[in-house]
Amino acid sequence: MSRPAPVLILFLRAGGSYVLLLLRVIATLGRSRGQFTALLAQLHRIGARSLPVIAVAGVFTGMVIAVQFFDTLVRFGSRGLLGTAVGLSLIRELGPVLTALITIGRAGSASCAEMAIMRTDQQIDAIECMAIDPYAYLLAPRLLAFLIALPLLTAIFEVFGVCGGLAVAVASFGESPTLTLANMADGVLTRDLLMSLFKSGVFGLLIGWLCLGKGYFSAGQSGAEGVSRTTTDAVVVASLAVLFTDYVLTALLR
Amino acid sequence: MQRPQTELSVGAFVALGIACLAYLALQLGDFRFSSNDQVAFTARFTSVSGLREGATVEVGGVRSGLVTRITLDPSTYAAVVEMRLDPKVHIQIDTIASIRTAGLIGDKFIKLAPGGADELIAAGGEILETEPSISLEELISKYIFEGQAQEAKP
Amino acid sequence: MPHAVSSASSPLIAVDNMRGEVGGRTLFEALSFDVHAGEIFAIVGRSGCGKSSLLRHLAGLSSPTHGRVRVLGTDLATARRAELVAIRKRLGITFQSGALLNSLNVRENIELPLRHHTKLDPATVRIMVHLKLELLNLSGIDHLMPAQLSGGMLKRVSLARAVIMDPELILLDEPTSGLDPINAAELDTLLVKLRDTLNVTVVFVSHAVESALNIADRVLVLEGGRMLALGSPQEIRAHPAPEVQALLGRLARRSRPEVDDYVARLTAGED
Repeated sequence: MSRPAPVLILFLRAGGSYVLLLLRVIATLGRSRGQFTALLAQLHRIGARSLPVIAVAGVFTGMVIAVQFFDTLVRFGSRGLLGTAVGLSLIRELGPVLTALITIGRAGSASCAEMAIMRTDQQIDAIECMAIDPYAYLLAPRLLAFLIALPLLTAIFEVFGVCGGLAVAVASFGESPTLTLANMADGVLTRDLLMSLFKSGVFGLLIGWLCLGKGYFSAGQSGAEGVSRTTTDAVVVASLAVLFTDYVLTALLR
Repeated sequence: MQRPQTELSVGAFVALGIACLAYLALQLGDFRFSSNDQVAFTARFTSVSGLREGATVEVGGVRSGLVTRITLDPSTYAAVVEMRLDPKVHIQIDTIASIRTAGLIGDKFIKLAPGGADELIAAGGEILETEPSISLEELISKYIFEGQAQEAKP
Repeated sequence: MPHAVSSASSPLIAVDNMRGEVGGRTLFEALSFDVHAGEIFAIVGRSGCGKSSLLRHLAGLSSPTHGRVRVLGTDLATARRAELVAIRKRLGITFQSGALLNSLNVRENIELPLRHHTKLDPATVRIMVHLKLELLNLSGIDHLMPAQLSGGMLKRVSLARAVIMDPELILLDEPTSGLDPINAAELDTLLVKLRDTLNVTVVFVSHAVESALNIADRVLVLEGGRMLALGSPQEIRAHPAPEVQALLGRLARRSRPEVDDYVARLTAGED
């Protein structure tokens, strides 16, 4: 330890610690008392309290893509495809990704900061000294809550998005609501919905894993400034990871 | 830690989430008719260029079913299209299945033109009379080159 | 206040030639001492002398890079997870900031170990928490959140949490730092009371040498990560080493020159 370890070693060590974190969390599932209660509390924080922002973001996203697609489609005389275009882009891409990014900003950053503060304040040490496994007590309910909340939030985002898109199509462009909806239903396949569900589950796991891990592993020595830096890092890393994973999943599961 | 408000809001959140999932699945997915209710048919085309699984099947312009599978018959090189139809729609043996395009560049769909025969095709049967996908490029080139050939003749 | 120490039984903590490092920097080295059952054992020294790190090593939160530390008969560095959990159920710890969980109120914080490790019904847990709160003069605050507590209360609540499982040993990091003299003196008496009523062995770390000398049975003086002196308060007071005398004296003198200097500069500026 006298000289700095090579970058590769540091990288492998960091990666390894994150993998171990995930494995240890999985190993604790269902084995600790009070996990269900804690899970409910976290679902409240991560899921229920994100509802308003997700709903509003969904409506506006649906509205804006309806306007965008209408302008494009009308040039090719295919305004009949408006429903399909809005539905597909919401469900395949924008729903999962935007929900994930909003959740990172709203809940991921908060969870990361919470862990980092608990580390700085030695609360995590205190938990360990009480012979309570912090992986079971702190991390597992939070990670699980992200995993459960994201698909639900994504579905809510998509429904509100569909409503927003429909509202614009009907109110601004005089489309028939039934036809637009039917057109949307034709374009969107079960496969697209499953893809959306799968993506959002993966994103939920990824957000929880990276944000919680970043906070949990923070050195906990540089006080408030350290906490804010850790949280910023977590938001950046998690956002990039979501976008990268989105590309990989979309390319692989076309 | 546990407050009744938390339980209520989490309950409401999960219920809303599941309701949205169900809505998406029922409204937008192809679970709309449970597959047991639907009747399967097949049809062979020389070309289904541009048609994809999930495309609609229309009878008289009304959406009545969808394409579930497209395969190639390796012995005849015909494209075999499997589709599911609303059981209320009866298909006569002289029904013509043709592949059409919605608008100039829109999605391909299958149009079923009802025949006049009294005999119906049983569920799982094959629609024998088909018209292949019309390729715009082929139409254009046919028009151009046949026009040239006719000009060259006299 | 000398206390009957049974040095015949095996020590609760046995530190043997221990060295601790973090990130390649040596925190302390060549430490050897024992802590016996029923003792109040103080570790004193200036800020940054490695005493808080030493406490972390005693709690098994950090592992020594050299030497051994046995707590309640088990080497924490080589202990398996189950052993470590078993040991930790028998010891309590407090941290400098209190380290109460922010999301839980006072009662929930104190009862956390009981809820996790016992199957006691809520009524019993309630009574046990109440007893400990009473013992620490904390009645009537069980519904408050940590953010609503004063520094002295935080320290006492975290002490209540440390003793809720009736441990054999409690490790306290700076139990009186940041407290006004009255609160600090009260906490000192409280420590003695805890030892006498719960028969618990107390190890605490402090930079307040004078108050440590008042309540401890034995005192370890740490300077620059090395053991300077170890003995009863009387022995420490009479210790021949100039560094020990300097530490005793310096802490009394230390703040005055700065204050005088500051006041002098202020008054000079006003002229």
